[in-house]
Amino acid sequence: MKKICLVAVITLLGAYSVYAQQNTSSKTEQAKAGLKNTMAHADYTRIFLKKIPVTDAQKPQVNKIIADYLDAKRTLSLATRKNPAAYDQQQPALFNTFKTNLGAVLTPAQMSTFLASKPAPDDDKNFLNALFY
Amino acid sequence: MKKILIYLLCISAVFSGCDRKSDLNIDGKSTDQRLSEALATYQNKLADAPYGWILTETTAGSAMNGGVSVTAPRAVFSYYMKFDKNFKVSMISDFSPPTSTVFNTSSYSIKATQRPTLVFDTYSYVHLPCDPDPSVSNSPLGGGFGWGTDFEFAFADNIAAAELGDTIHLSGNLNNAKAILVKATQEEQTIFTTTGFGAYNTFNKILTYFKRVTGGVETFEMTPGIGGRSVNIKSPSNRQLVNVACQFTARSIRFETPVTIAGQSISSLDDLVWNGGTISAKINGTAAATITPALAPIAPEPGIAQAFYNEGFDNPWLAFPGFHVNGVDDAYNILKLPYPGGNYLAFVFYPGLVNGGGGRFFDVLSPFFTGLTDTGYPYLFSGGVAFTRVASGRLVFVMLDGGDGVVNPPGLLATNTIFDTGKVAPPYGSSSQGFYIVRKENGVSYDMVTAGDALGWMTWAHP
Repeated sequence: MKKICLVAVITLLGAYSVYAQQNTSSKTEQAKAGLKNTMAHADYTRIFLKKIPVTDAQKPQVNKIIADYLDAKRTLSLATRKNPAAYDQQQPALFNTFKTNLGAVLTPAQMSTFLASKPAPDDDKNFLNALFY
Repeated sequence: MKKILIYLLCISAVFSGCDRKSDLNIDGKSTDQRLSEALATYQNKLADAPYGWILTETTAGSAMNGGVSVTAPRAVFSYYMKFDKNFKVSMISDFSPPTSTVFNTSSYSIKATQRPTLVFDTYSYVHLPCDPDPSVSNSPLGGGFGWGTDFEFAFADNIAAAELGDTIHLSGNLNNAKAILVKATQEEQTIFTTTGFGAYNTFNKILTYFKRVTGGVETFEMTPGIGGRSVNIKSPSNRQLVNVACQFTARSIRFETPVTIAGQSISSLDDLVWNGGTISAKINGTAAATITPALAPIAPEPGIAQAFYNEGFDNPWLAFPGFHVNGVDDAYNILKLPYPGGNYLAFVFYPGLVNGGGGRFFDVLSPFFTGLTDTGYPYLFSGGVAFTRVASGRLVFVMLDGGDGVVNPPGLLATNTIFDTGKVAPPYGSSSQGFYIVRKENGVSYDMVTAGDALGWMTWAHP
């Protein structure tokens, strides 16, 4: 009887230890999860549309449209990382969807200003490349 | 009758066997007396050394905290100590430039624990590498662990205190670090009290990451080991990195194990003398040598910058202290980087934040904080996005301001300027020279070294 209890206690302690280890995220995993959180909650109107006075009413929708577009781009990027040509071929379709969604929220004037901000393809320092290319 | 006598004898034997003596007197002395005398003998051995002691502590390759053990890089720490009979000890250490010349006085005791133990029982230089705060210990293990050193040491020679000689072996009680006390000579005391750990100071007057040693059979390169407590050695003929823990003395650098370079076995660099830019030395105490600063690796690893970048896509790189700049670890105090409500965890290099088309990626190069609700990277879009490329075997960043408007603290601004320019200070060229990526001795950590001046570096890993 004593042996049964001892074995049971050891098993429980071992299981707890494994559970504890499985639920302790590494710092690397925390960093990855933190980026997902950041991307989901960023105010992209301040980052990409700072020259366009986006209203408070438009902001939540605009931020979601941009976040979803960046998420789709990221998925495509990871799938085509070793094949930039494949990415360049498929990205325009994503951009067109994004443009349609954005156009449904922004006014024509706002949309026109946004499209005019497209950087030259070799302008490496311009973060707007992240949206247009 | 016989049975009664036998019973009486047995009972007597039992009672005499059960007679418990409360004190074992040997040579007329009680246990407590003999213990006190032994402890006093240990103390006298330490305090009676006329010129003090040199203590060399070598870690066991692990560090403990709260029952958790982690693997740690091997490290050697050296001290010059002078014990007195009032349980005070005065010391210097090769832990850092200030500790290598400024004497610190603290207290010690000899205690009877499971083995007689030397305890440095008030905070001293011995405690610095033990400190769980990485901003104090400079430990690469992060918070809680120090370097795996100790500040309580059992006397480990397994001989009576009276028989101890000029060399005493110690064993750390928590981390099992090994320490050796060697009596200092009068000459050594004079050198330590006038110039401190001269060899440590002289060697570290060369501030570049790469140091070249000429004068032996082949020129070789010395670079810092993980956490700067050992050296990595490379030569053109043997491009394999060799890591060796090293002990600094008043005038020499002694390798824990000899290093063979082009057939020449090198165990020390002796008689280091600063010549205002270079260092003259003697290999193994005999062959004249010169140590000079270098701006580039002697045997760069082909393709390493691209490989480092590619690996980060699936697995971000983390660094804990910020840049080592001009001899100062975490020069911009990144370990204490503030953000309201958040706790700094690490600096993160995470390629592939977003694709910019044409094979171009924008990457995360920004500090990560825990404890925040809607973000882990509050500074990301206000200066923490990098456009990265590989040019001439080096990683080159262009730091972008995403326009988010979050004000960067001065330490972060300075760090981002280094990322942007590849130098620790002006004058800056028209374009950045970027960074050398140097694989460390464990094969999985990397130093990112400013290619513009080799005066700044940051260590990255996947913890």
